[in-house]
Amino acid sequence: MSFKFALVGNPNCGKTTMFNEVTGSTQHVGNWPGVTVEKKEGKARRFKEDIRVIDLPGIYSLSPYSLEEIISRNYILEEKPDVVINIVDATNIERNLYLTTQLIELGIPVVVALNMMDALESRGDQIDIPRLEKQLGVPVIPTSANKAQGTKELIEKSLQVAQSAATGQLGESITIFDEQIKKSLDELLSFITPQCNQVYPPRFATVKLLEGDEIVIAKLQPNSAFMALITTTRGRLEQEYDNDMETIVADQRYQFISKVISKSVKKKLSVGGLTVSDKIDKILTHRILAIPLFLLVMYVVFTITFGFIGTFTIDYIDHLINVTLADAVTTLLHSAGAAEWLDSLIVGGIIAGLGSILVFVPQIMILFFFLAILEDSGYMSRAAFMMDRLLRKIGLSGKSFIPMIMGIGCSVPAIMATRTLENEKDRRLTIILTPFMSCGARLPVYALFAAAFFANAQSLVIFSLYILGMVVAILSGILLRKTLFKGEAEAFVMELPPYRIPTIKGLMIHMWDKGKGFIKKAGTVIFAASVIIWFGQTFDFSLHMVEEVSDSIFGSVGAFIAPFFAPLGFGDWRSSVALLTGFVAKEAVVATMGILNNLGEVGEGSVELMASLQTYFTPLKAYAFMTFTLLYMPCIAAFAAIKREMNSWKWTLFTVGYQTGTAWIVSFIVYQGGKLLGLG
Amino acid sequence: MPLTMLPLGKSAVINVCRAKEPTRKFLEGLGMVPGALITVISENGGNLIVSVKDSRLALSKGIAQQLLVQM
Repeated sequence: MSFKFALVGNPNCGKTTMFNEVTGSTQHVGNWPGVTVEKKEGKARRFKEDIRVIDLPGIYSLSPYSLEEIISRNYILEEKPDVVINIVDATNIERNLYLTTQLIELGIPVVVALNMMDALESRGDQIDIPRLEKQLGVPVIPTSANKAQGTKELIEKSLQVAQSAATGQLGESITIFDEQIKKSLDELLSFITPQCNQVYPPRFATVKLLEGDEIVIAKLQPNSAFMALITTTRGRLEQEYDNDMETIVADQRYQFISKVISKSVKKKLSVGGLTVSDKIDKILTHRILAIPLFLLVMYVVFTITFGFIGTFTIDYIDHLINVTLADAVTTLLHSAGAAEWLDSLIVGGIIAGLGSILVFVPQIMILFFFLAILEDSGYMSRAAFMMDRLLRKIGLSGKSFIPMIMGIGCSVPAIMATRTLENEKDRRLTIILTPFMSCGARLPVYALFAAAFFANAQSLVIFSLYILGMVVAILSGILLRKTLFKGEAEAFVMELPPYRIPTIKGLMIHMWDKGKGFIKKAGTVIFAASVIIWFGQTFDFSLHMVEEVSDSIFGSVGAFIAPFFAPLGFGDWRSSVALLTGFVAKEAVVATMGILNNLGEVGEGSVELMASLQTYFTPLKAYAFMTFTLLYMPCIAAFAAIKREMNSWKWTLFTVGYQTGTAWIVSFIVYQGGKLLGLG
Repeated sequence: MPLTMLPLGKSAVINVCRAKEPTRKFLEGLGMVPGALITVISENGGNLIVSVKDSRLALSKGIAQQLLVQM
């Protein structure tokens, strides 16, 4: 027999840790709301039954406010899992039980996992579990997912509940509301049963109808008599309680919760005291110190990543691949008597292409490592809070900050992270702007050109491009807010998780989770691209091997589109081809440059590539080229993410068109402006 | 008085929430209901970090103005 268990809970309650523990997978756990943006599925290990576990996005209630809440609510209602495992953060029980009171109404078996018990105990608090079970009317299992405690019992209990539910032995459900409201709900309930049983659990439907939940009303389409009854009931109750219906319902839920807590939770008294986390917040979010401290943190991250440590790893790996490996392979091929074209393909194509990317993997990993520290420690959500004021000026809210800073790593997860934004306009605008944040894949392009043309100011030049990307994003934000996205950004409300010291294991999982994509890309997409680029520059259209690269397929294609780029300073056919291949993946720009400039030669280090670039680029042209690479349409993976999140071809095409147009204009200004200033 | 006027480190009880409906619902899910105790932990350009029911919430100035509290 097979079972479906859904994990449901507030953001940051340890849901993903629980999921990893139960299924044995290594999903990334972050310390800010919205890490799980899509539902994830795994199989429970160590059980002979076939149990599928689904990790749903973290939600605070079943009212559909954000996309995540809609995803989770729809999943529970439509897929009807056998058991809903409600993860409750024991250290924040009052707020967490709000969702529990709503889940109980769904009529789907609920098992509560009272998580983070270790933290609760170390705080000196106590919870009377049997009592809590009785009051909530559902099983409660104490767990500490991060220490793998109680997870086995949790799944065993859920199995038991699923099996007894299958034979129709559900426990008596408890009442949350007071007599008066319960009476009104019961009255409505008698109307509702026949028509809605299929779509929604009746108890849930009555509460939502009374609250005036638009989605539920649209789906059930109550007839006019029923609708009138709902309206009069609501009017009567609102008058009696002197409040609006939703607030009455919310208030009653919290009243029920405080009753529960007063009986079963024993708190060590520490009322009003500031926690360690609060004290840190007093400094890190201080109204004067906050921004300087934030800039200092970013400065440290960038200098280490792009300064000597990053450069050292690049030189080291470059030597390893382009000298040691290339020489060894050449010797091997010669001694085996391999054909000249094979030698050219392997050394000049594959090794040159892959090598030019792989040298940057350690640096990208270092960058991801720092982003992981920022996320896991909880600082990222504070940064969002501090940036809200600034972002509001360009028409965004602090919530857009997290996707944008993640964009420094990779645009794809960053675009997906926009799901935490509730407002559709804010979301679309953030999606358009996020790719302007320079992603890790663009770094190799800067690193190559900066080393070739700005040897004395490499990190400064690279840093300036990151800043340029942000400036373009800011100006675009202002422009688009005044034209296409008129109106104000949504108010900013966000839960701040307590600061945590990141664990090495967590950081490694997190870094690897993000960084493995680059290595995988190098092994697949870039590998294939290298072969195609090699082919395109070795043969002409009639498939003859060419002497001069400019006669090759790529030479002709490049020459055809080159005039488009001529006003920007890089009307060279090689640059045009490189930018075209950049659509596959931005690193491919470097791979293409590597291959196109190293034809037929052996054992080339990037030193040779730089020398070759210097023959047809000037520093100004190089900067214009980097600017274009920074801003033009993102790679195909990001394009797909944009399409998925925009859910509209019109918006997707607008986004890439806007980005490419902006890239052209800004590069034009850089090049022509620089020439006017006599920098050419 | 609006929450923005509550001094740093002081606590008050939420009286009314004047935010628009979807935002208000979200706030309710986060524990911001009339009667709840709220404490200001930190302030940054009008934006606040507050403590409600054992959790920490960041609020923009706009929302803080719509929350009326009583000391």
